Amino acid sequence: MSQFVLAVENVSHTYTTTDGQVVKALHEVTLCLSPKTFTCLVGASGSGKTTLLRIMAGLIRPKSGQVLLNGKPLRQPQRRISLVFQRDTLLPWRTVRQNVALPLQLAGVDRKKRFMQADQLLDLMGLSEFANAFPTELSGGMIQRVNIARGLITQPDILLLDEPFGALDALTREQLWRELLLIWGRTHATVLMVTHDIREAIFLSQRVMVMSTRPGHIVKEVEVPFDYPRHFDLLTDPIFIQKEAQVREAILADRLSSSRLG
Amino acid sequence: MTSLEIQFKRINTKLSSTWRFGWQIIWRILDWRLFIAPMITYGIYRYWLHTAESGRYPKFILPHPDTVWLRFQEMYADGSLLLHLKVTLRESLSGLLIASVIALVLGYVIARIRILNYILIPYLIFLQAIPVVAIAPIIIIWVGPDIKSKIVIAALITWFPLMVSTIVGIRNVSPQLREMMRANVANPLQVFWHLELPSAMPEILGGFKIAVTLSVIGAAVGEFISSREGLGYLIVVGRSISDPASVFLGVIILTAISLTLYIIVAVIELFLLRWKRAGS
Ligand SMILES: Nc1ncnc2c1ncn2[C@@H]1O[C@H](COP(=O)(O)OP(=O)(O)OP(=O)(O)O)[C@@H](O)[C@H]1O
Ligand SMILES: [Mg+2]
Repeated sequence: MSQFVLAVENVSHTYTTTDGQVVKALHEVTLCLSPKTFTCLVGASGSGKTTLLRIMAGLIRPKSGQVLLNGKPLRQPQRRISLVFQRDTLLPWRTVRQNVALPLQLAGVDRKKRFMQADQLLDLMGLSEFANAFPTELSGGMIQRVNIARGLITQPDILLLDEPFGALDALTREQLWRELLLIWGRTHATVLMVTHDIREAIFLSQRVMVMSTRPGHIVKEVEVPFDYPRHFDLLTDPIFIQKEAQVREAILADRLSSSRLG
Repeated sequence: MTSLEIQFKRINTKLSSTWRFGWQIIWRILDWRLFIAPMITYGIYRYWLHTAESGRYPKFILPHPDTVWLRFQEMYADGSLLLHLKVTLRESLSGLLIASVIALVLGYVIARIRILNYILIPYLIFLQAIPVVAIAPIIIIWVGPDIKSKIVIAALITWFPLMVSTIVGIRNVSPQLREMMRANVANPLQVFWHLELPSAMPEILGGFKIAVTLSVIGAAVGEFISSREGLGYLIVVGRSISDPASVFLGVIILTAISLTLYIIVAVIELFLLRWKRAGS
């Protein structure tokens, strides 16, 4: 199996809103996702995390800087990079199974095969009963799980997750942490996940990056030294708590400095 | 919820999903509210009968329902009614088909290619602003007095609502869903087939509901001006020889065609847009 390195070099991005305002979303962001690593990205709302993920998925070109996939500039979306969107992007006229199978259908995989794989993932997400339901018949948390399943179905080498567990209850969320780590352990995809939950970030990843607000910039990286598989008693480990404090401190420091500026 | 409905729901959940939709459609068709309109029609019929029998209006203005019924039986027996019906139906459906191909293609490119919006729309509005009824005689001179000219007239009268609804439908496709398709490396054809077409379907079907009824009007208008067969012809001849029974019969059959076509679109809609009713 080949190894894919996704690198972001000095990426800056601005948006122009409809009323003509220029919003600086990202400023000189540099990061590198080594193969088979699990990285989490935390930062305040509006700090540009989604923007960064869209750039890394090849959906938008940054105003400056570049994204490199194995050293080659990324110009458009690739099948080996999969993005799970923060917002609901399921097709309302498709059933849950058809939605999950969509990426495989677009890649030309035949019906039987793609439905079989979709059913497997739905089973993993605890949604097998709802395979034939339409998205409007699901709860917010269920929609998110379908979203995640759709992102996993192509078995991507690089998986970008944008707050995938946002609308889930604590229990389901923790259960899905385990499922996600299990899947990751099996496929060894490279994962970059955006989250607002510091404990989630530390529990899942090997490295937590903290992003500052407007313009988005990576202000701190915290290495997480624990081995996999990880267990929930880790959550009370002193080192875990220490890492948690470090990340929280970095976020708070950013908030203080930005409020002083604003 | 009535007990019958509850029972029905219970059967519903047992059946597989495809069957469920089949049942839902039949359930919709058997809705009691569907019987309201026929009841009102019956009321109108009674009023017509009453007025005709009161003798207030001469027979050449308001025929007795029985006369119309008799005319129907006569013309049904000698096959002429079926012939007229077939001709009008063929004209309107051919016109509709041509119009929908043109309107869907035009609507799509106008919605997707911004510059075409500025270039084409003024001329298309101009084309639409010309009253088709007024230029119908010219079209008949240009195209010829046979069925082709009526197809052209039917197409001219139906293409506009179809095009506008296509433009609205394609423009309304969610940019977030477009981005999702792009992230999944969908090619333009896949985007059209899996995103744009189903997303625009509610608007397009709305356009078709207008267009099918207009296409019948278009065919009849063509026949009014010059023809030797068709329901429009039946009406014109009836009028010129003071035979109101034929006029009434023609109008009633035209209405029946329009209604049938409308119902066909509505049933297709019920099937294609079943996802819209899900979760409500
Ligand atoms: N399409 C857009 N057009 C204009 N401005 C945008 C657009 N998308 C994002 N922005 C702006 O860019 C900034 C960063 O947005 P982004 O969505 O990347 O934040 P985020 O970190 O993902 O926030 P959250 O945690 O709330 O999801 C925000 O100030 C936002 O207003
Ligand atoms: Mg975001």
